[in-house]
Amino acid sequence: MSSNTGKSSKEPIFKTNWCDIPAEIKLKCIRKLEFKERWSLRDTAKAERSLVDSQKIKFSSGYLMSNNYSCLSVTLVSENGNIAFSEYLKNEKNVFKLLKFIWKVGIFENLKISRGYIIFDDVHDSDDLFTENAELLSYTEKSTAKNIDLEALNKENVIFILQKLENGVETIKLGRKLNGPLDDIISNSHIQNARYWHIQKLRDRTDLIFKIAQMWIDKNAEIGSTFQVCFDYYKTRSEFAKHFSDRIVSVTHERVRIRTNSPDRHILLEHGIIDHCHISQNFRLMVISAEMKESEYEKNCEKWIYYLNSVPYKEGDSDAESDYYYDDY
Amino acid sequence: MSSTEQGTSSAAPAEPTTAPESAAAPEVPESFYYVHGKDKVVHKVSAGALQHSALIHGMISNLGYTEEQAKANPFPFENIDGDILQMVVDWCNQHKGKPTPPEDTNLPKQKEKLFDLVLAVNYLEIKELLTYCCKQVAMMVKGKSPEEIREIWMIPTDAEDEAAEKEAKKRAGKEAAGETAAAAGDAK
Repeated sequence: MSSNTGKSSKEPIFKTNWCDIPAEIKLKCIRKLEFKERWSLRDTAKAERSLVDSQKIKFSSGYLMSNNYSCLSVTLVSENGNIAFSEYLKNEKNVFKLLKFIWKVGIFENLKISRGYIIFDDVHDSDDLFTENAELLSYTEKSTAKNIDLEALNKENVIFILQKLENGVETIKLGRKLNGPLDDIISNSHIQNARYWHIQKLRDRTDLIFKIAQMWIDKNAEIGSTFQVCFDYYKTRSEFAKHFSDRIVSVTHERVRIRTNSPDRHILLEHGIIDHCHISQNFRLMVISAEMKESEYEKNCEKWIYYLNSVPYKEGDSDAESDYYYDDY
Repeated sequence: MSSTEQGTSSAAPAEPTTAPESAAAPEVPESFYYVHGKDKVVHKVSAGALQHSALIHGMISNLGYTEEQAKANPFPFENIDGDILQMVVDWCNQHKGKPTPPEDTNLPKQKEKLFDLVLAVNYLEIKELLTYCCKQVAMMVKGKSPEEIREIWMIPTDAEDEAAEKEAKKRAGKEAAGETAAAAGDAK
């Protein structure tokens, strides 16, 4: 088919055409289009763009990854498991155009946003995909994601993204690049309401655990609310017990259990210790039922520790990781 | 006026019979209605088949027409081409009393008729067929670029749209001026 915008001699000229269809029927047709075709249709004319933008589209997963050169790798997986869209964009204008469109129409079961294919902290804090772009900063649309993984994003970007999410985020996974006081992270409503959240690695922010426990006490968080973190600092458990000394229910070598203001729920801090690993200290904080017996504690901490220390996402191994993460919390 | 009869093998009303005590309630004879499109060709369609159309179903539900009355009063759908109405009637007959499958392979393959069919089906409020049609419309542009989509669906560019709008305004202004002048002439 000719790529010219003029009429092709091969294609029939229909008596009735797309432009004769009422908007509500066009919307029905647009809902049948895959993401790629919607992305193309919105480039045909302003009127079509406005229609396309009004229709949400569900994805089982979305992976948005950028590197240091304003490039963006996008993979969107539709609800039936097929790849709905997979592109590597280099042009900055196109990158932001696509990002904004995805953000506006996407409803994600799982959304992962990463600053490049990194394994360790090899990306500088100044590499801000979102917060250095004025056009994106002023963008007010909100996206919907049930489980979000913000790997290797610094605090400013994490907050920026969380602020642009609709309510209903259930799990939040944060990576290794969070530094400084995290009060603005803890005060974020998605963090406060998440069923599960974790920070993959954090240096010397023991008070974070206290603050999260206090936040849960203050807001009477749901039983099952869970936070996990990996610290370099091993005294967290004893300092937690000291900090909440007036609320102590029990203290053991591996766990500290405290009362909340609600008689039906307690908060349990667990120190996950693996024989062969002494470098990192893994902690899990949970709101539990006050009725829970010590015999009901999860004996094997490796399962939850594994998740904190798992290798960051690489294309091709996402399924194994997400299966564990999202099914278990 | 000609007439076509699809799916009407039981057109003659069944003789009333006395049902045996153990049998279920006696079968109600199927009623038929008549529709025609722009070409005035009348199609005889059973009430069962017409149930697919919320519009027609609403129209006939309280009529209580006899066969003769129904025949004498075909529903006119002057805004629907005869061949399109034929497609709709065929689809309704094929799917009479059956659950509609997730995929429909019996839809017309002619692309040039699809948009007309969409409009007709939307007007007649045939929900399932509209769903299939919309899917078929979507399939037309599968894997196509913006330029290709514009070409296939004949979507004017923004510039073309603006030019057409300007032209229409200009024409409307001229017509209004002409009418004013004519009215002034009449007054004199």
